[in-house]
Amino acid sequence: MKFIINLLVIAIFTAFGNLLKAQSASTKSDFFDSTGKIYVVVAVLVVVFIGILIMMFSIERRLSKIEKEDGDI
Amino acid sequence: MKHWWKLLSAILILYSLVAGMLIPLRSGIVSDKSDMALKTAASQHLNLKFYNARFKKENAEKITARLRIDSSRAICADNIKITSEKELDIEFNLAGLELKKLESPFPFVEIGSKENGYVFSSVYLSKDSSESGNSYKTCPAEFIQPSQKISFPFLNILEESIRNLFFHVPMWFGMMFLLLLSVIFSIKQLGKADSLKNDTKAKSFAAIGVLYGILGVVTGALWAKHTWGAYWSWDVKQNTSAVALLIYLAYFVLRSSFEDADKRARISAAYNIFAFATLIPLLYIIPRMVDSLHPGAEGNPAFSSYDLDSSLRLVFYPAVIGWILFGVWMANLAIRVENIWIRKMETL
Repeated sequence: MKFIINLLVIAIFTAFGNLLKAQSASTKSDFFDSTGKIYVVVAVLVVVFIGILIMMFSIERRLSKIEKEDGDI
Repeated sequence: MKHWWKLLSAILILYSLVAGMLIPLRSGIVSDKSDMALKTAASQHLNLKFYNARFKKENAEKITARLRIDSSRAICADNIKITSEKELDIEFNLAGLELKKLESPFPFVEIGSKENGYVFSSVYLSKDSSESGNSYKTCPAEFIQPSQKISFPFLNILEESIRNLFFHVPMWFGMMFLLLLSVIFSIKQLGKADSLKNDTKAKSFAAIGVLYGILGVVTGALWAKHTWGAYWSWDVKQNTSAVALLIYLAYFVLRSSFEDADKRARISAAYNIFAFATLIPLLYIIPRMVDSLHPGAEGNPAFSSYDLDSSLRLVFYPAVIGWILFGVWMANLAIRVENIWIRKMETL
């Protein structure tokens, strides 16, 4: 399970990295400033979503500990 | 329905997402300020680029452009040419216009049509001494009614990123509310020390509050990069909110340094009260005293009535309530899990 998650995380990050590389340094800010800077809003929404994910992960970690104490269900 | 407020938070956040992203921006002028300069002479041209506009050649005669002189008079444009879908070339005859007789040295141009509303921009007039040609003529101009369609205001540097108002600012409102709840439970904990229930609540509310605060700083930095030009401009509010977050991070460091649960509950409750007390000067007093890039720096660190248009309020306030309730919901989950964990540890 953990292995699969790790693999997924690496896959997502490499994909994201390639995306950034594709629109290399000079055009990156042009991209965010294009179409009336709407992509800044998209980036902010992504950050907020990541925040909610962090919260979910931390609650899940506690739950897993409790499950372990109960004797692996 | 015991859980109505959780449903409400989901509905309000969904509403703020849908309405906040779909309500269109008003049209606006994106030309530089140097393009807005006119001289008091004949055949002055304004070449203007518009955002969110679509001019059609067949509707050219419906477009009006005028330079307002006072509440009832204006100078109408002699000639309006549509150079592209988003560009206009407007010609004025301003010969003989006396700057001293104007109410303002930066009169407004009003461009638009009755159906689609108007765009306003101030113009920089300068004197031209060469006297030639016919002098200017005024035309009667009624006051323009604002458009009835719901739309967000167009602000030059912000453009579409004005929508961040519904996602960045509610984080701060939510943080303040959650930290207030946290300190209330800390006070309760000091009053009734035989149970750890209030300590768990204080900790969880503080955790979600700090999460909101970090999201506020990160989203603010992203927004700043594309409007103020840098992720961190050492703006007062950026600095004070970072300091406030560090104070609250110390709260969690302090908690983790105690082995004994009762001691931890007591000392961290006392620390929480001091931490909340420092928030008030950091977030409400210092920003009012110093110049800031944030809007409303001249007295009110929130929003002046000018900054917060009624169409923005329509989405902003539901978003604030939605994110506050959502934060309480998240904290609630954390509290319940934590309580089960504590009970488990006690039985072992």
